[in-house]
Amino acid sequence: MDKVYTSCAEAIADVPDGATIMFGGWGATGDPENLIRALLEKGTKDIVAIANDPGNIREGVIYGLYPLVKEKRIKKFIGTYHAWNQDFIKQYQAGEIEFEACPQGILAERIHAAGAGLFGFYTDVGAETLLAEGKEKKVINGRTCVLELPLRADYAFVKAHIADKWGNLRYRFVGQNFNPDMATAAKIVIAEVENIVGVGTLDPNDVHTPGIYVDRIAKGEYYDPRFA
Amino acid sequence: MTQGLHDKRPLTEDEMARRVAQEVKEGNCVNLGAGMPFPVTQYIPKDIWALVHIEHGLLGVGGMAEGALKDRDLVGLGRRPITAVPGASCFSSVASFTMLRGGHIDLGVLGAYEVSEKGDVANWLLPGQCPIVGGAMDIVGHVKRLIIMMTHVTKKGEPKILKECKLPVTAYGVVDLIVTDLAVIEVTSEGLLLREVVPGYTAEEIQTMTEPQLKVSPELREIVVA
Repeated sequence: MDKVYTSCAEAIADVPDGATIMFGGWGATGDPENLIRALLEKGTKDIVAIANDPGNIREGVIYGLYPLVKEKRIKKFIGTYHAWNQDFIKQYQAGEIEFEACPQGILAERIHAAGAGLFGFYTDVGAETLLAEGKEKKVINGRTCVLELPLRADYAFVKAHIADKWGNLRYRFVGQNFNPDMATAAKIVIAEVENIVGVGTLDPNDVHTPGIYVDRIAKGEYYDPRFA
Repeated sequence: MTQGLHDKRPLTEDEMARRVAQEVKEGNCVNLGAGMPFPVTQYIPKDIWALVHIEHGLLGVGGMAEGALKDRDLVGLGRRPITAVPGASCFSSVASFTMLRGGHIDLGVLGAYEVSEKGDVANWLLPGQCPIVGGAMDIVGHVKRLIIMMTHVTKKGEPKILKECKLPVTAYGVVDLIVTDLAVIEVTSEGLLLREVVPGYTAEEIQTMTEPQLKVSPELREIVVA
């Protein structure tokens, strides 16, 4: 079975306006930048984006969701902080973008819960903060906890270093971050990769994301040789 | 000591990082927050075994990567290229926060806007501004020991160490030690204990810049920045 698409544009061609999309990546590492560029060029708007941060531009180098934020394609962002993205901050201040702030580890765990078929979990993280307002609370072992609900999406855009044609994925260093869990938590999982190899080439011991989770694979067309 | 005898001034951020690094002990796994804390990495004594954890998935941060060692899949806080030390490991965000929330990390160092005398910390929300949640809420209260590293007073000269935090709190009763540009203060069950002051400052001067009453340690000494 071959899940390889001819381009990132083809792999994202059916993403409708208003889709909820998870984007892997932490800053400039592990972000599916070619899929993001393809989505920008396609003109998709009213996106509900789930990601660690909304990306940024630094010394002319773009990373993460920055281009989609700049063009105001995102209507709601579920993530951990603004990454000092001035366009995001301005849109937030102007009420043009909704921001659901979530502690980073809880964001990861909510995504993991969705992918693992769990209906939520209790945690003391943020339980005594403004973020806990409106959430169900329970005292467990003497600690106030809040119920955190699973987070799933229509699409997950993930980035890996190598895929085989069935979608087994291998990441490098901190490029892993949210990607392996996002790959379990969306209806359609699209993997942008730097290298595609034949089935059987990857050592089973080296597979981080088993191909069962991956629906589509596309080779990233361009990576800025600079990064800052 | 990097200061002259008559040079009475607060510590620089670099000197604060050197002081915080002295808190890292043999065998520690340490999480260092963005901003002021992350540069502590470079001052951890070379003769001890300690690993620096970053929340996007690396235990064993080395130094800043230069030239051919720069790798886009290996960046630290501030998105700058870094290296990994021998013995390092890489993992997912879920695994990374399992280490943090599960109480496996020995020491955390974070910045803050305010700390209270009970060890409450406020470091995520300024009035009218876009929240900065990041990983701090997972970290505080779950690392075995938490150090807050911050300037002693605001730019307007107002105390940041308060009886009660005025800003929205991140977590209550979680801070163990406060290292500022003027003093080292321990949070104890009996209140704040002033342990070290920057050379040239007296305990009384530190008290005027600190809202709650400080107890002065019988072993009060000057901060030594190696």
